[in-house]
Amino acid sequence: MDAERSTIAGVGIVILLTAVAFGPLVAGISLSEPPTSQVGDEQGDVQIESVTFPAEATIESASYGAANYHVIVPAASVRIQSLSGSPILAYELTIASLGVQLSTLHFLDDGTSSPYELTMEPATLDRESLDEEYTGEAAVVAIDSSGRRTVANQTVTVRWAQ
Amino acid sequence: MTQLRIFTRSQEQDDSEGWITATRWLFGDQIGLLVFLASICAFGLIWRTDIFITDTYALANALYNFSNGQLFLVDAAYGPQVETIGVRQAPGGHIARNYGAIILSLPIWVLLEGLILVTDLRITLIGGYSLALLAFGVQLGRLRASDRIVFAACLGTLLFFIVNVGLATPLDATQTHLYALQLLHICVAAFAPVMLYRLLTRLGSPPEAIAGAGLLVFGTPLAIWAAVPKRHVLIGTAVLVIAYTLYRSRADHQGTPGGVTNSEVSPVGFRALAYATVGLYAWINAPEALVLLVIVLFVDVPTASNNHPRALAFIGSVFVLSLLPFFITNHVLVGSPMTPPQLPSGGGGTAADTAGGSTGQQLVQVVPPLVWRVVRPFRILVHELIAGGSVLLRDPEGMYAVLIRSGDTTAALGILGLESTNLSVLESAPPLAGLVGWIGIIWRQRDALSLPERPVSGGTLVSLFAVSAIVVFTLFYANRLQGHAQLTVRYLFVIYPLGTYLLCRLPVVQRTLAEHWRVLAWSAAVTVLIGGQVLAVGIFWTTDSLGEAIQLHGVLSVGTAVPLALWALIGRSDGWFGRLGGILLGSTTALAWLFGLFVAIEYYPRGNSQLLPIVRVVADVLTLV
Repeated sequence: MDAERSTIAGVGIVILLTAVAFGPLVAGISLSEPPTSQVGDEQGDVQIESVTFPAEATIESASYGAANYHVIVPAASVRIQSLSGSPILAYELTIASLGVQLSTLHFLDDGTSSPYELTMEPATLDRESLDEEYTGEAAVVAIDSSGRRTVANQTVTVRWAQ
Repeated sequence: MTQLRIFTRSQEQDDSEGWITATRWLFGDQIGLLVFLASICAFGLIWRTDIFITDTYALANALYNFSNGQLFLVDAAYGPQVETIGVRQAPGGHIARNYGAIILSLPIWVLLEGLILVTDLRITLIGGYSLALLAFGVQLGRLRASDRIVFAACLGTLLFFIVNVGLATPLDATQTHLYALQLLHICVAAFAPVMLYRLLTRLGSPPEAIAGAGLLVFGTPLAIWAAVPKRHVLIGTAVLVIAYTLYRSRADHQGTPGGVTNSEVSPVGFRALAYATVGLYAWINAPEALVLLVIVLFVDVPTASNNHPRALAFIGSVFVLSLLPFFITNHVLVGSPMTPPQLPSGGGGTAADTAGGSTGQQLVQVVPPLVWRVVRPFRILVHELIAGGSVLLRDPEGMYAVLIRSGDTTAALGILGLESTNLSVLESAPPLAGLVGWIGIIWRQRDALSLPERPVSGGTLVSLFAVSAIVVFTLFYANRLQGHAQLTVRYLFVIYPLGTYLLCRLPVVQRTLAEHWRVLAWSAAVTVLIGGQVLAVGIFWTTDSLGEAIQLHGVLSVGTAVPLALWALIGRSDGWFGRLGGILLGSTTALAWLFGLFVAIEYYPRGNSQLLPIVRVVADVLTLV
């Protein structure tokens, strides 16, 4: 019984002392902040040789009875001419008549190979009714030390797959 | 075989007398304390130290302004501005709601502020969680008289603590108001399973009662809402306290099946406690407290064996006394003791307006003002119930979406109308499908049905209360259920604890819990550990959005709820039927718990704000939608 009690008390004391050790009274020990992804002050440069956009995107009904649709955009293929540092590529699709804009950011680095598959996260759409076909504007935007610029864009047909 | 002893009580009683008394009053017995600790550990696992729903801004800002010595909402430390959902303009300034919860959180805030003078906040909260885990292990070891469990608990806790400290990141120490509110709600929520355990252990065997408490913690959305500073878990605990006190007010003078008697509080005293719970709940949410009051009056007064004027006067004065915090808060903030900070939203607003309008003006001249003031809330209530009843008749499809299956309907609007992220009651708590078994029982006894004989037994009275509360709250909220961000039909939260009670009272479930609780526990564990991984893969491969992923949970819940309902309808618990029942109850419970885990880890991680670093790391690794 005594051994049991002192073990329990021991665990309690370890916890208490640890909490105090990391506290403001003890200098030198503190929790470190997690590494934050530094969106916004990206360094580096990217030059794009060419972009191949998909011919069309689709709108599909959600499964399992979810009351909405998904816009599925196939990946664009990007040929990179030169790459240094950690620039960003944004893949965007605007469907003006539906009032939606999809965008997915890709963080490039030394390991990025060319041609690069620029994927798009599926987006959710909640509409009572849809047309057969829409016209979308796909674009690839580069964000690097020389700022933000559209490197390629193309009109894409968005078809409702009923 | 029905009276399985799962715990051998340790003979050593070296604890102090005061501790034993406190345990008995709060938790009933040592197992009740174990249930409490287990609940705290379960809720802490999915606690996210962030604002889950925008309604919380009002409460956190109110506590922040209190801590600055401000009565009204002057500065907004949380959210975009002072005027957020739930904030109202009173003559003296902006006020929030749920003042009972805000004021009761003040001592916890003081404690947290005191602690961070000497300790690190994250390590303190991890430490607190570890101590709860340790207490659970030690309590379990002592109840089973096993030194090995106690030592294993010590070692396990130490490892758990060290791993979490190793992975810990700092916690924003300026948000202690939010954490204080969350801690209060977690503690109150943990009393819901304790009260259910106490009630069921008096109506049956300990295994039944423990399994019933487990069904409530893991088989309903209780855990999802435990750390969310809203009224839902508070009313969940309140209705179970009322159920327990009502039971005790009848059981003691009829001899309890459990054989435990506690003569310190008289039957009338327990009745008074039930009303006092309603009175205290008015401090949180007055309209719901009014609904509760009507239900308690309706089931208690006609069935009581002692309605002597002296008894009624005693109960009445205790009730008025319990309303004092509510009156004082209203008087200070609104300037009128009878005007609560929050009136029913939606339809209730219009009802309140008409009540104060021209008809109201005329009536005020006839009826003395005080009587009018007492009658007015009841008028609003009747208006709400009639409106709810008409919705049930007008839109049965909508109610089907709310109660049974949410998907496959365009009416399943979600948060901000973007995703269908609302599950139905059955999808949120699939074990409740077993309630269908009651239909079978009533059908089989249709010729022998009669009004219960007086004096009504405690068990019958509680069942009467549970059924009335479920029906009346459904009517009360019927016209507000579809437009709001609910996730798990949180407006009808009373269904989860009271439904679990009614489920555990179903004879076939009672027998299954008593005889096959091991099967239930194993089936739940296997479903969580293996089924959870399969589910994660399924979500990753087959869903593209949050709405779809949540609906997959809905489909699975309904899919397992249907066989459970059929099993309950057949009503057999012998041989393989009993084991099948245990498996079905276990797997449905596990599905509800998995949804809670996925909400905390995947669907609404709130910027990876999980309290426990180990949970945060799992959430980081796992990206499904």
